Amino acid sequence: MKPKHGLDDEDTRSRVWRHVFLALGIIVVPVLYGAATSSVAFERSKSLEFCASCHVMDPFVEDLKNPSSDLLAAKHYQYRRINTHQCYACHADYDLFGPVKAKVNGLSHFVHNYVGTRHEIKLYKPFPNARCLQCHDGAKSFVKAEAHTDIMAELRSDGMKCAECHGSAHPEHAGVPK
Amino acid sequence: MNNRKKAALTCAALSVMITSICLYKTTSVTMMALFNLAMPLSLLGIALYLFDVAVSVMKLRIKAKHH
Repeated sequence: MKPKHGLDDEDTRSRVWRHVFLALGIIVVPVLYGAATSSVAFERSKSLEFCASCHVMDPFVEDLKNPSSDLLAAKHYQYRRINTHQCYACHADYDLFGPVKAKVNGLSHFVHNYVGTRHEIKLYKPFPNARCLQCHDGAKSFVKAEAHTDIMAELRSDGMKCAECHGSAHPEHAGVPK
Repeated sequence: MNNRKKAALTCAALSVMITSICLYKTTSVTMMALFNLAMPLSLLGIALYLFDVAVSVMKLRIKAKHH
């Protein structure tokens, strides 16, 4: 028997199925696929190759791979003191939200890079010793070095910067746009 | 299928396409496209679809009232 509003059961069922398929195609698939891809992309974005895919990073990456460079970042890269994710290892904070903050900052860099508001590349805040100490503190070579013994407390409290003695990590004018 | 549904499907398809490019090769450009194109397109598709569903439900209710 046909219902009063003119829709029979068959019609209603096919309508419902059409909506289920449409909901899958328009909501479920893009959202799940997008979420999975974002997580993969975020993981890949830690790599040096990814950082190097922005041309503004060229001077930094060139120096990193330059055999005659004796700057800190180059030494860390060339002697494989950091095996993978060389940029990310030093430029992400290691507190609870550090990695998330680094990625959100990275997203804003994309926008600045592509909408043309490109400025000299600067750190958001002075480079904290904690990022060096996360690997070096406790290492025999670091603890036993006489030069560190008297200033250990200052180094740990950021009172004295590692770079004051060890020099800059990157070439001085690498971050200035050409 | 009405135009709103077609538009929603097109947005979803474009979003999946752009997402696939980013999944295939993640660079600053493809990641920028993922966040600034694919995601807004996907949201637009969802909004259009939900709007269409709401309109359909309203029409059905009005139809049922008249009968």
